[in-house]
Amino acid sequence: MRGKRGLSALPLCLWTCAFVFLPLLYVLFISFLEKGEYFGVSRVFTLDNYARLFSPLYAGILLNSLKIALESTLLSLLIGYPFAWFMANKPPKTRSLIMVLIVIPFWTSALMRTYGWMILLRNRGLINAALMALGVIEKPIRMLNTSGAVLLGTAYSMLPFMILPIYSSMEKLDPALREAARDLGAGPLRSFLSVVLPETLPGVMSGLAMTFVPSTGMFFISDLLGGGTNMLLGNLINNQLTVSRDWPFGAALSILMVGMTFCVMSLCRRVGGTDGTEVF
Amino acid sequence: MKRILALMLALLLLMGGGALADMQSAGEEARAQADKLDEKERVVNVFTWTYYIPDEVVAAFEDASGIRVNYTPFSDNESMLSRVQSTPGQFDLIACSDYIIDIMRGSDLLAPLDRDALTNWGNIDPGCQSQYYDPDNEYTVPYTVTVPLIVYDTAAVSEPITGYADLWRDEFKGNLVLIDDMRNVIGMAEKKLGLSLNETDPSKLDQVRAELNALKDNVVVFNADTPHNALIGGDAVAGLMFGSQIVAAQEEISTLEVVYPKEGLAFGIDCLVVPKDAPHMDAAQILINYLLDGEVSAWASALINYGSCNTAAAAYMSEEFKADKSVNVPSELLASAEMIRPLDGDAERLYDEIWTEFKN
Repeated sequence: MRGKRGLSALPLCLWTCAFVFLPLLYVLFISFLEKGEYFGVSRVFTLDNYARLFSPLYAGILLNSLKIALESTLLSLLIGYPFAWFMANKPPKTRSLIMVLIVIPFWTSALMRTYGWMILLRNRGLINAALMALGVIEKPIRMLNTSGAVLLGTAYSMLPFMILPIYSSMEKLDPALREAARDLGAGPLRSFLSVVLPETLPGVMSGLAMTFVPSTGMFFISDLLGGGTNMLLGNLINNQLTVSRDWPFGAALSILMVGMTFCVMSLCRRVGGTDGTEVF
Repeated sequence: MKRILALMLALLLLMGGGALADMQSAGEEARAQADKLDEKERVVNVFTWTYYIPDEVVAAFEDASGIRVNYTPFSDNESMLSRVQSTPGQFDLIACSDYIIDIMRGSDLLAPLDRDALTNWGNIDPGCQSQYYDPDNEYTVPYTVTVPLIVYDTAAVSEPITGYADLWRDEFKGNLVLIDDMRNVIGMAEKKLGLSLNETDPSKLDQVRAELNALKDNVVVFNADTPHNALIGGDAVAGLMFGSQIVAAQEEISTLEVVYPKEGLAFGIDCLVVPKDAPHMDAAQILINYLLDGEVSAWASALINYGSCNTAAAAYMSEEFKADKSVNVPSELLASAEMIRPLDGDAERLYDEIWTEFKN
């Protein structure tokens, strides 16, 4: 039995090894090297790349990234949780319809959808034009190229990854539990706080893990909706790999990001009793 | 009225006919050169930005010469270099920028060109040649001159802009769009201070850092590929961008004015190069020679809106195109413009930190 199970896991092990573990090891390796004279890396060992991470300049960017990631994750949770609740309380047919409506926009490229937001938000965009035509405002409101737009765009891109795990945990929630709570005299709020919330917490934690981590790396949203004036960790890594051609420092920054991911994952596991993938 | 129409039609036909005949001569030459090649060598794998060698020109070349062109676009110089280094023998002709050519030459990635095959060599503007990345003109054929210029909306600005320093004005708070280009943007502050674009003195670079921090609140958008969209979308009223991008903005907004900054211009050159491991070197040089033809060059320039490095092209350019300030910078201004050069390690890191601080 044990042997059979091991064999069936072999493809997964090979896949993970070849496409996750080895590349990560390579990134780790590069992060200890010096930048090449012209391009790439030269094989000289150094800790300099990690020392640079402690400069106030990069700490500021890290904090800013964490702030935007945290804000957009909370925004997704604020929208996602009630949405999942609403969805879970619909008849099965309506649920699948809503599910399709959530998923379909994400069949198109994320870049495309971000450009869509740009067309809506810009000063000569649809929203400003409509508000001005209605006489609500006289001068266009600046919406594009603000940190608010970055927040909106990030939360928007992450929303399905918040809704789906929460919905999945709500769907598993036995309606009898809520009935029992009511029978025992709990009001709607009490029943929610003592029964629904604890039971769906693993879904929430999973949603948080799945939205928070990618939020720090979505550099194109900050570039397109924030005008590139909010440098995030993702932008910084992208810059190091392209414009600055400093692969080792980019690798060190990536390792930092992987480290952060581990922290967030283990935090979620401790709080919610899940590693963020269990729900699926 | 009818007579005028007929006259114009005749003129058009004449011009068109003339153009065709000449383009034919470039095409015939390419055909004669291609005929000497084996059937399987009549292929060129081109690697450059989307539409940088326009589709129409590529199609005309294919028709005339019988050489098949496989066009692979890249998004930036750096990704091009990664690909050329990691998978050798894929490309025959690359159009890319000066500083990356310097890296390619230093990494021994380029093949020397065969001057005998390039019969149109004499058309190259000597002003574009003998640059730091190829002092003896062995590896490169200059293709375009790229100059970042100031553009502003005359309808939204209190008094005219004459130089970089004007962009620091309070009225541009949250109103500027800049190309997302480290060296060119830092260069603005350097020129404002009267420094070189390639300044390496740390104390002077501290002044540059301070200048840029003072400019920070004015900048609302950094964008590498489509900065003109910020002008078109009304999100910015002035900025610094390349000529072709200004042309794109001017097509939408008629009140835009182009400025040659009084502190001096920065310029770059994009060249055609052949990688050392190119599988179809001869065919690549036939295409280079075709692009060097005066009329083909004029045609390509008008399609991509970049300044030309071809002295024979002017004769074929329309007066309207030649008068376009965004694309054709006067040669006396270009002569005094400064080229951005690669920096050594320490200065490079300083620039990177200034840039990161400015953009954060």
